[in-house]
Amino acid sequence: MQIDARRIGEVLWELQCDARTDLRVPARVFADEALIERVLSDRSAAQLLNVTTLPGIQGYALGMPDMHEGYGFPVGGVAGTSSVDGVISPGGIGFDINCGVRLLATGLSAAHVRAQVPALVHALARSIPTGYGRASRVALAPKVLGGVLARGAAYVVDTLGLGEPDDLVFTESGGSLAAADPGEVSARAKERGHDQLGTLGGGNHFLEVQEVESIHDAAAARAFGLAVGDVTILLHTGSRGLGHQVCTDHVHVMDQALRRRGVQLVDRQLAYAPLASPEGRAYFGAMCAAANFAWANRQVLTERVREVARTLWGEVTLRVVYDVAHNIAKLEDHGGQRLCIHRKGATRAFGPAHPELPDRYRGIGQPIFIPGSMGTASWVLSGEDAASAVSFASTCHGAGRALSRTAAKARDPGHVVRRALEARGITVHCPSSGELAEEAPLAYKDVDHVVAIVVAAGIARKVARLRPLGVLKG
Amino acid sequence: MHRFETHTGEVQIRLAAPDLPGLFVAAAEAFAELVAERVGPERAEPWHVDLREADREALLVRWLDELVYRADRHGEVPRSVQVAIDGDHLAAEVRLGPIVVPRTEVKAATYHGLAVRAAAGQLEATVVVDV
Repeated sequence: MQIDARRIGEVLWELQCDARTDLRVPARVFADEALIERVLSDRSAAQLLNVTTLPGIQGYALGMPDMHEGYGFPVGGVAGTSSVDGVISPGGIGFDINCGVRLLATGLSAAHVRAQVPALVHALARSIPTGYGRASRVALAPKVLGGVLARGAAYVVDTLGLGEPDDLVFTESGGSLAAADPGEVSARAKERGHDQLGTLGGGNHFLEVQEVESIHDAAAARAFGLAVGDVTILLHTGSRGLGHQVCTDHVHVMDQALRRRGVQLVDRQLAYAPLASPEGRAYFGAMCAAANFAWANRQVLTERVREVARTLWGEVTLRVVYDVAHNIAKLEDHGGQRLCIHRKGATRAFGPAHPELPDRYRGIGQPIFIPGSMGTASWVLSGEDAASAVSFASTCHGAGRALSRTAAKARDPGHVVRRALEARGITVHCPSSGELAEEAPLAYKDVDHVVAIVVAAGIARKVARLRPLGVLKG
Repeated sequence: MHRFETHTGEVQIRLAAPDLPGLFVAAAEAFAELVAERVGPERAEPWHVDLREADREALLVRWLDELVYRADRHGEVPRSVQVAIDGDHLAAEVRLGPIVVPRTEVKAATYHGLAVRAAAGQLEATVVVDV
């Protein structure tokens, strides 16, 4: 099936496919010539067209500049459905519910502590379980797990005493979604999650020690507490096995319900249910509970990082700059409508005037973190008010994969990747050599290029560029 | 038979076998290879799996999701598998081994582009798993 792209703005393209007659709204991608060529080279364009078939979808289906092939939605896909008569699709959120990133500012100078980075990474590796199925230090009793699912990071701080009240102020939605319904989380999901709080997981999850390399917006950087030469720590993980199981369970329920009604989908992984239906409400409640688990997980990990940092550096203060999800559905107002915004591999980007921002960031914009790859750089951006009209206040979530995992491994084995990173002064700790190869820098698009597109689109502006000093890979 | 195919974001597995039980055995073999670089000795006690689904694609996704659960929760992958399928019902006896050296974390099996089809005298399926 031939899919073309027609340029409709400086960095905006509309996908065209004459063979498709089932599209409810246009599919648009933020890109330049080079990136749109990449988008058209895999199956992500077809997947974004499929998204436009969701009942109740409003405006357009959007692809961010890091868009690449996924399942159901493409990774980097965004869609808003009517909260009145629209649907919710777990395929628009993904299995790793509330996978997201949290940035910690240390206030320490890289010039002073650079020599200790290898010791820090190794101490973190000893303290934080990483990799497949690794359990946490503690198993949560059912009542505690129930509290985590109901209140997320707020429960961890208030009830378990792990963290500071300010950690919640600087977390999206305060790290707690009130719509969470732990009763809609299956026993199996709870079983998988009960000993995974405070674990990093595998795949592309990581913990990175960084140095602020350059500042691009002095006022925003000041508000975020970032200065050139400072050490920062970026956490990337999600809701672990609990979230995966929630998605598995509810896709199954929705798939069965659609088949009973004789509904044929263009892609079964786009199974959906009306938001107002029992299946839709059940999934939304369970998804919010899994999102709370993910915020609680990043909160516990923050405390682990603080413990390790104190053993090395004494009474250092690690401040949460912000914590933001990139696999989630949220009810938000855009263009005078309340919509269910699906973000799969896409980050919320609220502008300076948005009422949900903490006081410190009013007039600045919501912090956005765009990790590149282990060997390149990450960006701190701030959201623009125009983003609501441009992209449902959404932006990219990373550089985006350019090569499949198989292709990346075929190019450079893990030990070669490790040596190349170490030669550049980057300490790497990764339990699996194969996974290290899969996440090699060459597997990703150029993060500077991707960020330039969202800036040109008026979605966000640059605040700071961070370069890696050490990586603990999941 | 299984082989891993190009997919930018996830892992795509092509399965082929003379019959439906063989296809499910191939899926288990592919899963074990994907998840574990090295597997320990076979456990003495077999794991019995009993599943019922509306169609064979849903049965294949459910089967893989059972293996995902087992790997995530218990750190085990199949070393040998016997599968019997009768209509919409699967009964399997799985001999498991512990994951000694992990390879890739699999989050779930997906329905994306999944179809079990007959081709060249055998059954084939392509399944994408989230990693």
